[in-house]
Amino acid sequence: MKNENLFLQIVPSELLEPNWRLWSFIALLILGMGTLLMFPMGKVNGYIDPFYAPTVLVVPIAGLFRLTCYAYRKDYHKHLFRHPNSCTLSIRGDSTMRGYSGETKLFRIENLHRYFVYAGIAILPFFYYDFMISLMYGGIFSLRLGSVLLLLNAVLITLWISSCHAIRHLAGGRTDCYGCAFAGRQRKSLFNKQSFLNAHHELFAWLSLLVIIGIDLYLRGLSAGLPLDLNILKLL
Amino acid sequence: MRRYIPARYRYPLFFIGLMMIITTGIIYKFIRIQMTMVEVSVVIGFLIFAASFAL
Repeated sequence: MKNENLFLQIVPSELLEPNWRLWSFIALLILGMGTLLMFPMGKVNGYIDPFYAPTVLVVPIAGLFRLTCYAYRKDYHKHLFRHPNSCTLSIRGDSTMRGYSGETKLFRIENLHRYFVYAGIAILPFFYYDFMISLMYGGIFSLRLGSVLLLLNAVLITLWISSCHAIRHLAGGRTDCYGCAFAGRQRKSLFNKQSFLNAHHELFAWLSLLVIIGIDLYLRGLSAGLPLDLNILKLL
Repeated sequence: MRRYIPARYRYPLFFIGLMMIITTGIIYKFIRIQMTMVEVSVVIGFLIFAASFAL
């Protein structure tokens, strides 16, 4: 009985419901990760797949960064758990039996987002490195469609990470009094600029996910022999 | 921004889009279906996935 109580204290009620949305999402995650591991991508025409930059082993860390992101959190609480359906509703549309348990029990892991952000920053240079490598394919400088997509991916992930709420805290959100703090004026200015980006955080989050999956499919198409590699600029 | 797809259909579309892409990849690897079928299936899956949050 005591153990049962301990179990209920740790596991949120959202994870114990017969909810096909949640379990199908977990199946999708396992199948997606399994597919990435089963069918690894080597270097294709000088391009390195972003899922394998620097290695596919960082995908779980990057995945945890995405899963704990405020933008995705809003969506999976709304669309997987169907609660809260909107900010003004305190009850579920189909049940009044339970409340919102985000950031409590096992969902406390959502608070680790502020630490996962450092992992995100650490792998960011690899995306730019892969873009640089793709420019010098075959010993000559050439700008191809794949390179443009890799750059787009790197820029969108940079925007997504730099607009993060954890970065907002670091940029100046934790400061109570800018007038009293060291370099207060500059920090306030940085905070204001970051706040502008932060307002578009959800857009960057979804666009970066769309582009990273799109590039993975594009590179798999290239490796299967599809003529998709368009040359934009070539310098000898 | 105006949303065209009702909230209750977003997750099912997200799931169907990604699942189409993954299963097409697995089928292509093991059963060797035609490349044209793979292209069509992956592109449709990707569009459904994109539509699930963009529209």
